[in-house]
This record gives sequence, C-alpha cells and structure tokens, in this order.
Amino acid sequence: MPFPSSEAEDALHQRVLAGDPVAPADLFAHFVEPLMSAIQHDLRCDHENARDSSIEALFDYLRSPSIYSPDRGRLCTFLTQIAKHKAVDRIRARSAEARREQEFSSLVEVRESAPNERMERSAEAQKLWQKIEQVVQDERDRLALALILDGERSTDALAETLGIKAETPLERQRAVKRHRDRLVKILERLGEKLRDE
Amino acid sequence: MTNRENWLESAARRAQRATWSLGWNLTRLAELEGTSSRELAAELNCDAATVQWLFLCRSPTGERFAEDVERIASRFSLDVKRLAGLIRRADAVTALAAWGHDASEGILVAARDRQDDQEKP
Repeated sequence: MPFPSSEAEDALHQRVLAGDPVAPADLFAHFVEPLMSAIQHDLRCDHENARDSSIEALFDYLRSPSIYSPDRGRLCTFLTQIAKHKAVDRIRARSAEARREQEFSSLVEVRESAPNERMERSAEAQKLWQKIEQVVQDERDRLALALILDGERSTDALAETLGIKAETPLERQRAVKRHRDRLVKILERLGEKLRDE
Repeated sequence: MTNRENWLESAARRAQRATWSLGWNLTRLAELEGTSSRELAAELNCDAATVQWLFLCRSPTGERFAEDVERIASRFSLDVKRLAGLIRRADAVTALAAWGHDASEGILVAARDRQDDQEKP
C-alpha cells in the first residue's frame, strides 16, 4: 500500500489542524501500513517494532500537528523520520535489555550451580558468591538475594525473609517490590563489574 | 488476524492513553461502568472493529459537538442519537472522575496539613 499523494496528504493535514474528529482515524487508515513497510524495508526490523513505532509516530504528530511544516517536505517523509527514530530507539533498548538479562542470568547460573552448602564444589562459584557477600552486608538481604536467584517470586516468602511488617497487603507488596528492585540493581552492578574483570 | 486487524487493535489500545481521543473517554466510561468493548459495540449496534476505529477519532467538544458527532456517525454508519448519548455519558463520567480525583487529593492535602500541625511542638 503506497503513501497517499501529496495533495491527499495536505488535505488530511488541514483536516487534522481544523480538528476534524474523523481525520485521525483516516490518518491511521492511510499511513500505518506504508509507514510499516518503509521502516521494515529500511531498517530490517521486526513486524512488531515497525507496527508500534509507526503507531507512536502518528500519535506524536496528532498530539501537536503544528510541529509539521509543509514547507519543509512531505508529511510522509516527516512521519517516516519520526517512526524510524522510534524503531531505532526500540532496537537499542532491546539490545541493552538483552545484555542486562545475560549478565543477570550468568549470576543466576552461578547461584543455581552452587547454592550455599554446595558452594565448595566450585572454587570459582565460591569466589563469586564471596563477591556477592562483600557487596551485600546484610544477612536478610543475602537470604532474599538467594531466594531471588533461585527464582522465588512469592511476596510472602520475600517479605518474611526481609522482615517486612506492613499493615496492608498493598503496602507489603510495594515494600517487597522496592527491596527486590534494590537487590536486583546490586546484582546488575555486580554483573557489570564481573564482566569488566 | 490480517495485517490491518493487527495494527488496528494496537492503535486502538494506544488511543486509550491519548486524552484527545474518543478512545480515552470511552475507556473511562467502560472502566467506571464495568462494561466491555463488546457491550459498547452492542450498544452502538456495530462490530468490534468499528469500536476500534471510533477510539481513533478525536473527541467531539464544545460548540461543534453535534456537528462532530454527526460526522463520526455518518463515517461509520452509526445511529447518531445513540452515539451522542454514549459520548455525553462518557464526558460526564470522565469529568466526574476528574473531580473525584481532585477532591480526594484535596482531602489528602488537608489531612497531611492537619497531621503536620499536630506534630509541631
């Protein structure tokens, strides 16, 4: 499906500016598919990224349509640029996430292969656990970390280990999440440090 | 699912967060009344895809309300009275919800001020 003609684009832009209630729906009908094709062709990104980036670009434009100036080029070029930036941002974010997950999983593997009593089995694993112990001084935190590394997801189990006494289940859940995020951050930092070493 | 159905669903979902859209108002209404998009479609006597297209329309406002509603109804072959009634109800609950939120915020601020006063030596 190709982009609309230059005249059709201008007319649509004028309708958007004038607050025509149906113009946004028409904009989606005419632009999402060609935008997706353009991004997939140029960036070789996946369908989901192309779709979400195209949709986000259109919502950006619809939030403040006056940011587009017809004197500076066609609307399709303007929207494609926004969508491409969004697609590239998503690709970068996914790469960073994948890297963090890899670092985190390397620590999980260490932990899984050598939980407390079995640590002696591997000198390397023991060394790594010692590094965790150096960083995490609090015994409750260490136990919670051990649970997290073993895949424990129960709020109650973590709350008990961390000694959290909250008045309501919601407060308890929030407190556990706060502690969990803090501990995972510590692991992430340790993962980065180990990777550098 | 066709390509269009796929992106239309995503776009309609995204419209629920765009305050200018009909999707925003209709979602607040559905949340507060506990209705589903299927029930919304039944009320308008249309299919689910039409409701998704409605979500992507700009919300009718002010003096142009009647004209805007007519334009939307005509574009999607909907009953103009039913659509107008639904949008007015959505506007009302959105306004009430915003008022309720502001009011509860005010109560919280007052409660905090009172607590602060009591804690002062």
